Amino acid sequence: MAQNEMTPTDAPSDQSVLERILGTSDHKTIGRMWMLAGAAVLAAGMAVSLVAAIEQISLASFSIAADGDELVQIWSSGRTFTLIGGVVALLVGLATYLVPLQVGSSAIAFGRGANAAFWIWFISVDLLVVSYLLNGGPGGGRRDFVALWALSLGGALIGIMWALICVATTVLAARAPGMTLERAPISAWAFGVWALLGLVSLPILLGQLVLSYIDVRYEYLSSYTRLASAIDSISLAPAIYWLAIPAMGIAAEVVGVHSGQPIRFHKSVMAGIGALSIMAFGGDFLGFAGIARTFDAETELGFKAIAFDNGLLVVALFGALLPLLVIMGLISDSLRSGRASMNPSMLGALGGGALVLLGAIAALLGTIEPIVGFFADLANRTPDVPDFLQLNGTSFNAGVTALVIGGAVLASIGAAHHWAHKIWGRYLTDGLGNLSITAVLLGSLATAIGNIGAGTRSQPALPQIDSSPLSGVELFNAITALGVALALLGVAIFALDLLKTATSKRDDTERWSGHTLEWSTDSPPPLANFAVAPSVGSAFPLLDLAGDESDDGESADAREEVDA
Amino acid sequence: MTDVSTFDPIPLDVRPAEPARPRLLVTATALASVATIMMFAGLLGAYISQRADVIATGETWLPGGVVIPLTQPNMMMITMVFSVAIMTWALSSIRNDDRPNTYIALGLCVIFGVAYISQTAFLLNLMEMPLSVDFAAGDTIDAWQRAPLFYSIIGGHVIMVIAAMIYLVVMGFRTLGGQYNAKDVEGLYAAALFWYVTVGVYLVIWYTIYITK
Repeated sequence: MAQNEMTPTDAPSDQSVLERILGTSDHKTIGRMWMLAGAAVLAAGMAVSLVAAIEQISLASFSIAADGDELVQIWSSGRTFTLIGGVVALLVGLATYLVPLQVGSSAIAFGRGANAAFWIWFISVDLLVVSYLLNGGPGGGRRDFVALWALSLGGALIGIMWALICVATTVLAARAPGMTLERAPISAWAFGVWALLGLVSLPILLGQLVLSYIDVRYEYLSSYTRLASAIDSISLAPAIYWLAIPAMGIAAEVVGVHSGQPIRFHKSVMAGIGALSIMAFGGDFLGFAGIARTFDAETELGFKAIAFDNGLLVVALFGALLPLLVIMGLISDSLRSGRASMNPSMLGALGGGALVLLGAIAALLGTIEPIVGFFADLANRTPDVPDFLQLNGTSFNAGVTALVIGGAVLASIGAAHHWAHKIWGRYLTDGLGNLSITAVLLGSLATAIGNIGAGTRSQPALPQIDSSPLSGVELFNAITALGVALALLGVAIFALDLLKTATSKRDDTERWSGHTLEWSTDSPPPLANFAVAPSVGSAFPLLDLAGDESDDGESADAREEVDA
Repeated sequence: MTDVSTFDPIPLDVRPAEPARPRLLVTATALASVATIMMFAGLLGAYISQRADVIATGETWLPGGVVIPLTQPNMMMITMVFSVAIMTWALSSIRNDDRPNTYIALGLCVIFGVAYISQTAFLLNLMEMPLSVDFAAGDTIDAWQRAPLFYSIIGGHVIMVIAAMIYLVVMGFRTLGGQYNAKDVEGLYAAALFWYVTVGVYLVIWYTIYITK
């Protein structure tokens, strides 16, 4: 029976902690494991990124790294751990914990599979650390450990994809009776869309890693540049907007609760999130542009493959801005018409949304070069783009990525504050929350300014030491280093707050409650989540309940408005 | 005699069973299939692109002495297409609760899978595609990813076939254990879906790598 895949089991209480976490299929335990491990790896990844950023301040000589290869290893490990080990793991943890509760399911689909996914990811990330420490990684000198790098990074991706399958299946096939997809909570919808997009994007990176593994293992003609750039297929705009999808879902959900005014035009937000995912997938189309190039070569029809590449890039970058503006506009509408109370949840949600929007606007600077090139091509003349606007392939890309990743981290911190009581039965500390969010916000902004500034001076995307360094980039690189340090400080405060909360006394007071199903059960919920299997009749089942109890007619009008 | 008027088949204090969640396995298998298709699409895109680049320089894509014979790939294609018919037979049998025919069909499918792997191994031995690029023999630097791409795609598909066979065997045992029958065929549907996708991916590989060479 299919119900087997939906029956949560937990290890008997007389077993050790290790036995319990290894044997559980309870999505709540698995989600907590993802979140704690993700926060720790994120802090570690940012610490390594800080080392790379400090080394790059002065490009005339080495001060920390032994040589250029080692610098590439440090830089690459910081980026990989921050993204694959940190931000994505945090979001997977939130999705694993929250999605079944939000859609009214007693468990996540394939609970044991979700647990296996975590351990595959966790062991792979450990092996990734080992590969970097033993001179592996893209700039590594030991062939076996470079191969281990490709293998372990691939393993981490498989773990993440497996977890995404569990999340997406829960959203698609395990919703409570009455909960159509359009009635799903916005954040559950966003996590579902995010999981689906991950399942069509990450395999392309996995394919590249398989290729890298075979090449390194048997031939080793790959340059460190190519290996280090493997992760570009998910870390550059517009593909990086993949991380913006859950961030926008969280922002819409959290603001709707804390302003007391659920987001109006629920379906428009859902459509916006869907449109954003299509534009983020546009980045993957670039990978298939080779097929167009073949078409060009074999048919000689004069098909402009490069124009096709650039055209897709421009459409995707502009196309992503529109849904982001719509979602942020509707969030602002809730803020305006509700009674907003500023707390870390709100700050994180709003800061996250704002950083993502800023990143999407900044990314448009990268379209100047292809647009000018396109018109120059039409007029049959050489494109004339000033040097400072030739940004693609420079550290400008890292600046845009820093804004989007910063947005996802802020939204995750905001979400952790918002759902802390539901997750741990305790609240995170407001003071520390405000501090960590402010530090991550300022740090992300400074990192972006530094990288984009250095990009205008043509600093390449990959770090390199040059005997004749570019002029005027030291200041920008120093700003980048300061930004990474600030963001690291914020993440470290958040991780400490998580640890402090996990070991503090339980708090039974409910400071706020939302409109979706997770707020109808205990904090934290019991093993099967709900005492009675819920059924719903709208996108805001708890508002329905409140409306039925008050029966004043006014709340029914409000529900119709937000449900439109 | 039992007093019918007082007989209560369902005690009031028993929590009603949660409604069965339909199609979890089929949904998850569809998602896994899409992910697999995307991986092969990326690799095949790179293969086609690089092959075009090498041909554009006036070189041949395959290194000297390497020939892709058509007999084995065509036989593998026919094997896989037949396996689709066999799988459909398995599904049709289980829908009619005809277990003997279901087991025979599932077993045949697995045998066809083994035959495919065996033919692939034979083909690779026959081809002897070198892993390294021989610049002295006229290879250009553009060809450096030729062998890794070739072996990634072919090897990846062999792994996919093995995964599909394991999935079939597991679902076959579940059927043997009575978990699936004419009223509930979800597990077998899911395994069949993944098998069909595996065959579909092979058809693309067959055309892209073996036919257009």
